[in-house]
Amino acid sequence: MNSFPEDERLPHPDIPAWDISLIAFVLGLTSMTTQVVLLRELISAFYGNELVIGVMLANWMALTGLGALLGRRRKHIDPPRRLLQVAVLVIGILPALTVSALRYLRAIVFPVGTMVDLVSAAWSSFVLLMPYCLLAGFMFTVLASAGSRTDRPVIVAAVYGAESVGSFAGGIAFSLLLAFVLNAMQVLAALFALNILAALALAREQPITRILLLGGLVLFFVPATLIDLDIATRRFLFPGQQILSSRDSPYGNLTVTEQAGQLNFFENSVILSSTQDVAGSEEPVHYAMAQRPSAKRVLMVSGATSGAPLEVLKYGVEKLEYVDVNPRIIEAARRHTAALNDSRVTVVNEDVRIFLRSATAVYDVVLLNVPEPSTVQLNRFYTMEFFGSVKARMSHDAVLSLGLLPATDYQSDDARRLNSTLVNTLRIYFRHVLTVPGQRTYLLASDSSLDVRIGRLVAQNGVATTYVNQYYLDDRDLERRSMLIAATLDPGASVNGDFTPVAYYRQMVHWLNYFRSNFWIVGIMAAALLALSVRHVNAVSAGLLSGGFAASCIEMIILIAFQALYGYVYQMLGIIITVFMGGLAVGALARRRLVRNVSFRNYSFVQLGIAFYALTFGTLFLGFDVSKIPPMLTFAVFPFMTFLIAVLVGLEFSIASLLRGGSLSDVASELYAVDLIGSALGALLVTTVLIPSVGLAGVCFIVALLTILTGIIALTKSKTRFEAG
Amino acid sequence: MEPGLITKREFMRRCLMCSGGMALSASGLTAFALPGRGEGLSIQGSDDLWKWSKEALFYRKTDAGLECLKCPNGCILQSGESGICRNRINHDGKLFSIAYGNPCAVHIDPIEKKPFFHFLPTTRAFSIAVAGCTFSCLNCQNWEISQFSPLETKNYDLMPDQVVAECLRYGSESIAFTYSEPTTFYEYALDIATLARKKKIRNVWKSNGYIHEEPLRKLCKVLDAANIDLKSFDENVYHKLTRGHLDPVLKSLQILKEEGVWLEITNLLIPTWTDNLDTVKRMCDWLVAHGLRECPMHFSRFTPLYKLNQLPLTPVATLDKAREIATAAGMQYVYVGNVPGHFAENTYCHSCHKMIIERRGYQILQKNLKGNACGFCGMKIPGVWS
Repeated sequence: MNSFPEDERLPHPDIPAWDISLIAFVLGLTSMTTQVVLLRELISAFYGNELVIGVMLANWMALTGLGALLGRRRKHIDPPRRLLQVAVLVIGILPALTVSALRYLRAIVFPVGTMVDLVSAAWSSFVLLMPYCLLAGFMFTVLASAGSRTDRPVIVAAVYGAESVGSFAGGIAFSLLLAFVLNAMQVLAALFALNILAALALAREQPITRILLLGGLVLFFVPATLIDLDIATRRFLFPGQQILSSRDSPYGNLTVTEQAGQLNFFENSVILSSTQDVAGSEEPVHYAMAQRPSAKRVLMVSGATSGAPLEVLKYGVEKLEYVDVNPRIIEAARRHTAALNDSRVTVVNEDVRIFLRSATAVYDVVLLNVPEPSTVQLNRFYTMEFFGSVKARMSHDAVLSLGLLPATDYQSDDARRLNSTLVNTLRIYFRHVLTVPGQRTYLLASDSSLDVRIGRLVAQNGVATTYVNQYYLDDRDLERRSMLIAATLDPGASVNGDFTPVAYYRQMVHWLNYFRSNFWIVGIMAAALLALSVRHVNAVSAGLLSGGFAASCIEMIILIAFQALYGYVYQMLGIIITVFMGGLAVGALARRRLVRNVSFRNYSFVQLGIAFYALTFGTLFLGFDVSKIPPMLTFAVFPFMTFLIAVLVGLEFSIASLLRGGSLSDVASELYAVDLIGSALGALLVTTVLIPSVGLAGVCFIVALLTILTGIIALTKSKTRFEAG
Repeated sequence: MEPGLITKREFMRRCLMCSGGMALSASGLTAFALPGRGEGLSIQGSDDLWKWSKEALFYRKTDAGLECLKCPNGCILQSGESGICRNRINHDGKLFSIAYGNPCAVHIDPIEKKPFFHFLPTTRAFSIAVAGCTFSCLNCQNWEISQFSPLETKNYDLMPDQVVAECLRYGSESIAFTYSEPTTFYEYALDIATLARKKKIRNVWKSNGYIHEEPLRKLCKVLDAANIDLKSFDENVYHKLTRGHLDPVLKSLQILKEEGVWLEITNLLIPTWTDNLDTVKRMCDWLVAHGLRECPMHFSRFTPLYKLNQLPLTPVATLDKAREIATAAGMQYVYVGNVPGHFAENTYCHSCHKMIIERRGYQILQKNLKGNACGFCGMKIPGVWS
């Protein structure tokens, strides 16, 4: 049995413990903020479906873990102060350099305007993230081993805790403030400034270094305030176009460009709409409005920049309610189009699911102009729960319209499956579902009859249209193609739900077919991550592997469930993520209060606690109609649930760091690395494969199973008991 | 071994046991299978070809395998291998087409949709396609059939005589070989066109023009009209965009003209790719210099599709400028496509410049033609008007 006197800590010859904590805090803050910004930029540059997001998150965590493992190669050498100062500065500037490189290289490495396949997105993000992530991981190990000469592993937990506190602070600052007021490059510049200040703090007794750092600060920030670095670098993403404005928001970036008199609206670098696009503004409106030309009250979700609201007003509507969660889209539509100017148009800046909960109006037509269900977040607009809430606000013969994949002359199998899933989901609430094969495939749903002869309807209604009319649409052809699609639909296709999301999986498969690919890259990456961890697996690190996996999966499930039950509120998501970081910090730092004896038994119990938590969560989804939970309760309960799991995981890490024998750098690097690898596996697999296959409840049960397994391993393999230290 | 530790082997064994359970859902694992190459798809384990196959025309035996001579891709195929187009296969020492009688897309379209503006206006074309293509265009509208093999698509069973019968049943004046790349189902198209001719049905060809001279000249004997996609006049851009080459396409344009096939040309203006107006001018100068000034030119507006979906639509002003350049270069009939309501959907006499056909979509609102001559100045208007 080993014991360590309280507070025994030989000082580092150069760096006091407080400075170590400061650097760890700054590292955590920088990393949390950088992760959000960099991932948003990567998703913007490539494509933002769950596959790409999962691969990038996995790359982030795996590289950081790898960096931590590299840190163990340093054999108990106290890092000189200067090395840490340089590292802090490099960590501070790398994010801005990475974003600049990404924007510049995107159009050079890949053909302009092309969608990049998953493999290319994987290696590109791997290469771009490598410098920052390797250094960040390396720094963690260096810091953890820097504080003591006696290899007290309690320092590892302290550094982990300080880093988590930093992440917590970064999360709060970004999600509640920075995301609303600064653009990406400004955020990264602010991070660099913070890191310079940290380096300055480290140089308290080095006057020359302080002067140099202050000089550098001025030299960097004076030109940075004069040049709009964001626009200057973003220009590379829009060759041939002039950027009129680029505004960031919590929902991403909205860039407006101009080219030969045409305005283009890009959301996260994906083209939303252009002016002079007649089909783009008419199709989402007239297919539905022509069915109910006397509609008085219309609800439109997103799509203002295409001019669609003006098309609605051609009918004698009394009121058009336009709902959009992204304030930048509303802003851009107001500034660059006349779409929202009419007095009959009411604009609501809110997530439509939240809006519908408190709405009292009844609508005659509902037009959903949301993107395809390419992510779990977008999937929410195609679920039975959502359609149910929309139906509740529709009049008895009202029509709902939504647009899907571009229509072609042949419907592939995966397109057919996606259409089948959505049609079956609509059929739960609507008696009639009609497919209109326009330039996109539109689904119309109503309890009253629907007519595919759009040209005839429009002519009858006498509404002036440029494209949606009998001149451009052949009713016979529309009818025939609609019947062809209907004949191929699968009545047994799974229904899409908030907790059993399949539509976004179908859309992922369809996307993979662009490249004649499948999920093999996910399999290879998962295998590589497992292979990386196997070398370091023992009864202690196995627990962290499963714990990291559990944390990643459960955090994602909480985010998904919250959005499904409450709605999309960016600040709330930011709070959930930040609470998670805070819980990790509490668990890591408050180990002594929570667990008196450090032993494999208690380590096992913590893991079983995680398993019990996951089982409870899973049972909740399966056993109860969670949609009945009052929204305000959701608002309160979810942060608490998040905090709880995070405390357990943080606690687990803290105990592990004491159980694991060996040198401090071994402890730090191995445990941090394995924890991250587990998280990477979770990030990679949870939305790409697990949730679509087994639903949210199923993922909870898988997590429970894994943590029970590793908990049993810990329980059966040792009776070693430590006194609390 | 220290208590509290397990061996790596033991851990891996336990992990494998766990993942073995997941592996039992075998269908899920196929999602992780390494994908086969799109090119060179082999039909494995089959002694007989399927019903929808016919010995190919235009190939020869070489020491390295069978060389397909249909298009400039020049695939040389070993036994069991199929070519870039996915429709030719080396089977038992002979080259077979597996795209015969199995169209995956069958529709009735207005002829103007192809687009043909000077060929049997307002008539309807019985339009068919078999999966496959000689190119891999980044912006393909019908990628779900062009980038796949007939083995992978859901197909109809329609032999050539049935195609002709269906066309007559629907009252279509022409059969259009379109949607994918008809060169890839050459034998099928040729047989259909031959039968159709006997029934006085016209045959129209919507193609990338990537075909060797001999097969093209043979096809021209039964072809009435062709619309060729001239995707760019810059070889580098052409290759990056399509993986094909420009010169064979230019040659095809000349051959079609020589053979008396009515020819219309489509040029899609893609922002930053093919919207360089200097290149457009060079293209038009070449067309005029090679006797193609009478061929209607359709400048088409790009919409984001398939892999090229992070670009905006072509600005209308760019299309207008291209039209001006083409007209100034001497092209007599220049249209703007995919811009509903644009004045350049109409036909203007190249002599007196008056509007002789007012179009709106696929309908003609007014027509000032006397036979095949301008109703105002009497100038002969090139085209097939009846």
